[in-house]
Amino acid sequence: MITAAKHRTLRTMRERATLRGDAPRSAGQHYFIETEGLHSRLHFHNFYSTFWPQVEGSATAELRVYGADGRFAGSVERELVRFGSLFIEVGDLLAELGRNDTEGTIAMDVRPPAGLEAHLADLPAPEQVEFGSPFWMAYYDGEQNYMYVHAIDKLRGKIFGGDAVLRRVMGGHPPGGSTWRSWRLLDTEGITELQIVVVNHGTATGIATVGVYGADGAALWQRDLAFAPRELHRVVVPREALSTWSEHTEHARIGVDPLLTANGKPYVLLRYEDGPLSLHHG
Amino acid sequence: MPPPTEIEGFDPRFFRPCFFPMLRELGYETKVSLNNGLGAADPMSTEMTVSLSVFDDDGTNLGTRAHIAELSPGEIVKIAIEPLLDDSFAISPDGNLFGVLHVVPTDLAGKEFVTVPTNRLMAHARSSDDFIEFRKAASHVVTGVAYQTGPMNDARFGSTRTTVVQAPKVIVSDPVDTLFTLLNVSTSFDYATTVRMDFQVLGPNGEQFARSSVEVPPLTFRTVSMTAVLEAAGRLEEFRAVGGMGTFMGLAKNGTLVPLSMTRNKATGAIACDHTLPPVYYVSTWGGEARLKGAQRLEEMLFPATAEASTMVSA
Repeated sequence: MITAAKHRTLRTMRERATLRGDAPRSAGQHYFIETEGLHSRLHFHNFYSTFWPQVEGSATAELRVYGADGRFAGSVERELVRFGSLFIEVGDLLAELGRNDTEGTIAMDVRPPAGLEAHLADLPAPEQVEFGSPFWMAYYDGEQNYMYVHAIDKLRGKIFGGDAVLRRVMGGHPPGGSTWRSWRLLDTEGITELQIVVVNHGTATGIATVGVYGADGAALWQRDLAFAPRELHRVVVPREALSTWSEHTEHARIGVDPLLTANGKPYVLLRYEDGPLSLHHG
Repeated sequence: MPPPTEIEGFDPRFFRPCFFPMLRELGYETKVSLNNGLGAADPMSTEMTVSLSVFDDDGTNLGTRAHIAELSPGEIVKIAIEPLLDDSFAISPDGNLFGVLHVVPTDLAGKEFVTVPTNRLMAHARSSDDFIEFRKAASHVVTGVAYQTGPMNDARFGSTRTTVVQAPKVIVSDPVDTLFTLLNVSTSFDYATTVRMDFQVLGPNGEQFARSSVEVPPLTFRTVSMTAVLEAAGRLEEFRAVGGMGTFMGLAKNGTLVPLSMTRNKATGAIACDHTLPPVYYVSTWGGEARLKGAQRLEEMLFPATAEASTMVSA
């Protein structure tokens, strides 16, 4: 338990870290796929320029790659000039690391440019500041049909920047999520492909049931999954199951019970008839 | 300054609105997954009734259709919009349309103005995450995006209104264009502010490829084609030569716009859709004086008044 005195000490440490330009930072984390005709590309920009355009120095992005089994695969760094952006093909990144993963995740931390510390005095509540890097991942096929989403959750259990004590306290075991149902209703008629990607963004093992449910809550299809820390599963709903749903219900929704981290909603890949794939969170 | 605990003279039709663009000119139809997000266990849960209003490209209210749906606490429904556009609406055959689904507590429905507790209104706004689906039947395209539209552009909820859009999602190629879709919403049918956004299309090294602006009339949306903007600036081929990807940086000083990005394959009709992220996702305590100073710095750096801006270019 953190006592009031320790809490005050941590707030002071965090304020000092912020004002010296070393505020705690979290890293956005994304799924990638390099198989089944799909490719992935990171899209990110130097957000420090948006808030402090007068700072001329470059930010530094660290990209941490994890295999589908959750194991750390390696990292690279890239410079982000003022107002610059990164568009990194995951295939190129994997080749640079000597990896041949077809799926996995990438987390990105962005260190601020030198000189930022001189411009942070007017930030509200410096004892609560955290910098984040919720980048985008674009997925595309050979015809340039694109899908993209922002990072829905962070690399949990790891904080960048700040003091070692702050990193340890803020990066402790993240809380798990609860039973979750999508706020999107899918038309069941005409679905020919449905894949659900569930990512464990956290550092603990876990089990979850991923499923598709009718509007009345009844399960149309379910699968139980076990997760190692940071592991992901992409489940393909059998085509024969898809073809029967419209006989029972007009609409269906995706569910996960429980989410493995507080906001670790799944990625949903969806196709109707012979149309292009689409992707959304949850 | 936090908002007051109660808002007086509030039009209940904007208690929990869901605003959405209808991409009629691009040939897409619209379906909305709409929810009453607070379940029965929540002390602020309530029965809701749903109505639909539609506006044309000028923001003219074309009509309202009542009793589209009823939603119990925690209930979700999917609504196909175009089949609802009957004689209740004075719709012309051309032009885009802007819709709002009014999700209204049944105890407030039908009243002209009410006093609402701010925490009640915000609890429902925060629990809403409506999914707007764009569909093109002929090519079996079904895509969309989830977002919230709480009480915006209403001085009773906040004294300053600026919008900063930072989106490294500009993709242009032969078959692909990226459309930034900006929604100008509020809490009243009498809302009258046209919001102007200045924007830059930046290259990977921060190069300023094209500067332009767009004006979004009240209760409408505007869609800005990155291909058209770059073409108007005479730099489309140069932009493509460095990869055809970049960042949209936008600044509006007189209002809040809801920004959506749509990267569209013109041949197949596929669209990647997403909203952008507000500043607090990058800097957790961004706001107040720092926010105002930040917007001013951004304006001085990217949108100096003396610089010559190209004219507005829409898709």
